[in-house]
Amino acid sequence: MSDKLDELLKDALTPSEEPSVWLNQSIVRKAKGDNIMKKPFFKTMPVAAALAIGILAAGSLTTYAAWKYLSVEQVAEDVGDEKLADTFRDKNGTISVNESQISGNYKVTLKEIASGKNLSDFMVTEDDGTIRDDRTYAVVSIEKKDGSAMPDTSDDDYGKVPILVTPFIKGEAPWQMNIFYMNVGASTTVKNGVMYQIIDCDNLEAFAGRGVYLGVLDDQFVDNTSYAIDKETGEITPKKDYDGMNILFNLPLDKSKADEEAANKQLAQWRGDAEGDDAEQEGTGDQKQADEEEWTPEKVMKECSLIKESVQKVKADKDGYVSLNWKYQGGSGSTEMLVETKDGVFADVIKEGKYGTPEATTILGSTGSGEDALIETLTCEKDGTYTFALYRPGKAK
Amino acid sequence: MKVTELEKCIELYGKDIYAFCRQLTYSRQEADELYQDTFLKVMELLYKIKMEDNPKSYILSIALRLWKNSKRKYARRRQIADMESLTEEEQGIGEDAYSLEDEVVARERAREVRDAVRELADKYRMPVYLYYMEELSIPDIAGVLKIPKGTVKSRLYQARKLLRERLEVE
Repeated sequence: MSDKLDELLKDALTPSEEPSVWLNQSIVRKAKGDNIMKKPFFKTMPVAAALAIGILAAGSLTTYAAWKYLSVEQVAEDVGDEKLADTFRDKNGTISVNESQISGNYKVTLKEIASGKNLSDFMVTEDDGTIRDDRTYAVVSIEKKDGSAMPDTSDDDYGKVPILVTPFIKGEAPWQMNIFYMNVGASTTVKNGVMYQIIDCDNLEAFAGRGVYLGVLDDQFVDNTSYAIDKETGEITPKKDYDGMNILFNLPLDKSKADEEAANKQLAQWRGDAEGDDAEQEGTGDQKQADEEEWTPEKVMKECSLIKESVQKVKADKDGYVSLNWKYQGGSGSTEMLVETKDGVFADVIKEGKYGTPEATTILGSTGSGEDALIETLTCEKDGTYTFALYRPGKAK
Repeated sequence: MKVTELEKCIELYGKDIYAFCRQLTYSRQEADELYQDTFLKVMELLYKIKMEDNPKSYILSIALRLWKNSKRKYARRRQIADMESLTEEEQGIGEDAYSLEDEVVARERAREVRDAVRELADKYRMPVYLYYMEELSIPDIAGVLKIPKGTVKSRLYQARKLLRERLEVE
């Protein structure tokens, strides 16, 4: 079967893109960890895109003689969030931190946090359109320890080393409860060789009595190689043998807002979301419904009823093709198919005499869904004829 | 030892698997996700894979299963990602290409072919990718899709028929 269409398809579909080196390295690195963690599911596309922006590179050796740091208001303005800039300017629910830590090749400063409703121009929405407007925001700056510049978002090196900024909850394993479960949003900008990230998630103030951390690491995910949890006390600590940056700040939330009941409810919701996403990834729920890809001759024979009036006996023409048309209760279709010769659908059945076996029947297609589905089958018979038949889900009573 | 085998798998089959992921999804970011998830799953199942038995089909079937299980996620993102779904090659019809009319025409035709394939129902689209892009044999495609060989042939036949009509190829 080689003709112009074959050539077109081969040319058009010849792979032209390759996985990036860093992607392959990231996979191998994950595989080397003790735990292979399933990549968490991002709640919304804008969030995923924003996190993708948060990938940065190490590389440029340009050194700046003088640094000019942005204020948190300027960071918010620079990412186009005027409302959040006003929030910081007006000190509306904000807590200034300005604590710096050095780890791996980086120096990270937690500059300020803000919590409350409707503080930002950017809204995180759930899949069903629900707006999550009660949020906690944290602004961090990330710079190279050696003083060299972080690559700008327009640089070629940008996007090679990931940086992840994530809250952790005391008592919850970091790899099981992190920003990916908290309805995350993120914005990034690079100015004068310093990277700034604003991350936001569901309001964390209810956890103020329990304790909340902010982790900053050079990885795309959190696993048990970067942070540890004390099972007795629930304290989270950076692992000393981690090869890279694994910074941990205490988030100084307003203790008057602590609400253990609300915190437990929020945790349950996050966990529920996480389980829901896992279930989705495992294909449970309506994901499994009526997937026509799953119709096999065996399944049709076992689970469906033959529509007797649809049965047609046909013979192949001299070139090995069968042609047929069918109509039934509003459904219709036509098929012309090569069934014989070495490229024919039933070549192996004829050659090996497998008549009467499931292999002697092929599913031509299906129309409709659920109980109304019509499944088209074609069976190669021992007498040299072909039987077309429609089936419907459900056994006749 | 296991990681070494994984590295070998990535080296040998990474490009082919990535091409498949790229066609199944609608953006490079989603392809990266699916590709990574596929190889992490490969790592979990490495004990089942025999390197001497050409594991490409098996890895493709893992990618396909993961994609199916996350199909709703990708469908949801599709509309958003459509604008960024052009490949770098497609976007790269730049100054050099304009000086070579034939090349521009060929690229445009290739884009039409990819679009036509993408519009096929999954049951036809998958065999096309596996046959023309991954160059798998009919029995291997049957193994990946878990359908009889005859069904693979009939779907390829139907896919070709539909593509012939849509692309107006004699």
